[in-house]
Amino acid sequence: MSVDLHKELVNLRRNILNMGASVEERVAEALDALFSHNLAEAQTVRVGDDEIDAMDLDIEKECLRLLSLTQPVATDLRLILAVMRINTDLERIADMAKSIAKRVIAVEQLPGTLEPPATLREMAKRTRQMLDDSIAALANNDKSLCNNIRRSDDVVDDLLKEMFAWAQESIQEDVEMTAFAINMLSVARKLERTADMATNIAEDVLFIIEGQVVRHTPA
Amino acid sequence: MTNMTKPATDRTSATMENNAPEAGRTSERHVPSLAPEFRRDAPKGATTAAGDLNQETPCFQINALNLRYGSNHALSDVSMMIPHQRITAFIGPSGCGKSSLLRCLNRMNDLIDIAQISGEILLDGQDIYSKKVDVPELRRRVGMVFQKPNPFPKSIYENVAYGLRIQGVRRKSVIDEAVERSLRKAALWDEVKDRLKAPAMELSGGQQQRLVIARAIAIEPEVILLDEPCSALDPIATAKVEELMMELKENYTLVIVTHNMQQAARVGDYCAFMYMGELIEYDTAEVMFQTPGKKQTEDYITGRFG
Repeated sequence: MSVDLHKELVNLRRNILNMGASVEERVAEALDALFSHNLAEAQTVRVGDDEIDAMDLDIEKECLRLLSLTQPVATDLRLILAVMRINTDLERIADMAKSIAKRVIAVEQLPGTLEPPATLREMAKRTRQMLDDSIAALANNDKSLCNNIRRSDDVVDDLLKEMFAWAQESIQEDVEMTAFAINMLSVARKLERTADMATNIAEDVLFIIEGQVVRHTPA
Repeated sequence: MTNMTKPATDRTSATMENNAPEAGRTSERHVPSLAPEFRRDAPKGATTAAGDLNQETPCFQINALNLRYGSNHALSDVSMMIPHQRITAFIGPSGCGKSSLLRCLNRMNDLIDIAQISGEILLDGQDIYSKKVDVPELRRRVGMVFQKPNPFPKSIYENVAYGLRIQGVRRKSVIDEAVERSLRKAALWDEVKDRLKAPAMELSGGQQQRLVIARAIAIEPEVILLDEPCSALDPIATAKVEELMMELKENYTLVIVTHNMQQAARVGDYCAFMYMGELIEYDTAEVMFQTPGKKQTEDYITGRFG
C-alpha cells in the first residue's frame, strides 16, 4: 500500500477541523437550548452523538495507519500525535454538550420558567469563545491565540466558583430552588471541563508549532 | 562492560550532581516503593545518556575545515566536535559532503591527488594533518568500514589476524586470543567459531560486514568510521550491525554516514545534517528528529526536499 504522507496529513488536518466544527455546533446548540428554553433543540443534541463518535474512530484509525506505514518525524509526527489528543478532547467536549442538553431537559420539566443566572451566561460565552478560538488556532497555527486561550481558562475557573456561591445562596433563600440550582451548577461544571479541554487543544496546537510541551506549566 | 573508562566516569558524576537537587525533591518522598531501575535518578548503565554536546568529552575537534576536489568545493567551513564514545551520524542528500567529511577523519582523502584541504582536525587534541603525523598509525587508531563488505580473500581467522601480523605480532597465542576477542566483540564468534579456517567469502553479507568490523577492532582502534555500513544488508543483518554498534560505543567512538534516516535516529546519539558541503545543523538525534531548529533540516528529514 502506498501512502503519500504529505497529502494524507492535509486530509487529516481537514478531518479534525471538520470534527471541531461539528463539536462547536453541538455545544452552541446545547447552550442555545438552555438560554432560549428550547426543549426540542435539547432533545436533538441529546440523541445526536453518533456522528461525532464515528469521526473520532475514523481519525484515530487514520493516525494509526499513518504512524505504522510511514515513519513520520518532526512536524509531521507532532501533528499526528497532537491530532490524536485533540480528537479525544473533541469527543469528550461533544459528550459535555450532551450532558448539558440532559440538564436542559431536566430543567424544562420543572414548574415555571426559571432563568439561568448571569454568571452562567458569562461562563457559556467565554467557554464557547475558547472552544472556537482553539479550533481557529489549529486551523491557522496561531500561537498568540493559543496563549490567550490558556489565560482565559483561569477566568472560567473563577466563574465556576461564583456559581457555587450562587447555588448555595439560592438554595438557602428558597429550598424550592434546589433542583434548579443543582442543574445549573452541573451545567457550570460541564462548561468548566469544556474550557479545560479547549485549553488542552490550544496546548496541543502549541506543541505542533513549537515542539514544546506546555501542559502543566503556568500560562 | 562494567569497568568504566575515565571520561565516562567523569560524565556520570557530573550529570548526577546536576540532577541531585531534583532527585532529592521528587523521588524519595513520592515514589519510595519503586524498584531502583525505575527511579528517575537511577544511573543508567555504565555511561549516561547523550544529551548535551557541551558536556561531552571531545574525540575529534574539527575547525573551519574546507575541502576542494579541484574546482569542486566539497566542504565549506565545517566546524564541529565529535564526542568520545558516542555514535555520531552524518545525514544529508547525495553529494552533500558527508562521506568526504568522514574520509577526512582518517586522511583517506590523501589518496586523491586533486584533494586540497585547509582548516584543522584535532584527534584527542593533536592535529591529524600535521607533518609529524604517521598516517598508517592514524589509520590504525581510526578504523574504517565501508558500504560493501570487503573481506580479504583469506580465511575468517586470517582476516582478523591480518592487522596484527602487519604490526609484527608473531605469537600464535596472542593472535588467537585477539581473533577470538574481536570476533566476540563483533557478535560473530558463535556463528564462526567452528569454521575459522573457512574462506571469509563464504559468509553471508551481514556476517562479512561484522567480520570487517572484527578486523577493524582487532588492532584496537579508538574510532571506527562507518560509511553506509548497512546499505547492502537485509533488515535482520542491519539490526545485528546496529545492535553491535550500540555495544561498541562502550569502548569506541563511532561515526556513521547513512542514507537511512531511521537508522540515524535509532543508533545516533548525535546527528549532523549536511547540505551542499555545509554543516547545517548538529544536535542530539532526539532534537534533530523531533524539533529540528533549521527549516532545511526539517524539510530533509520529513521528505519535503527539492
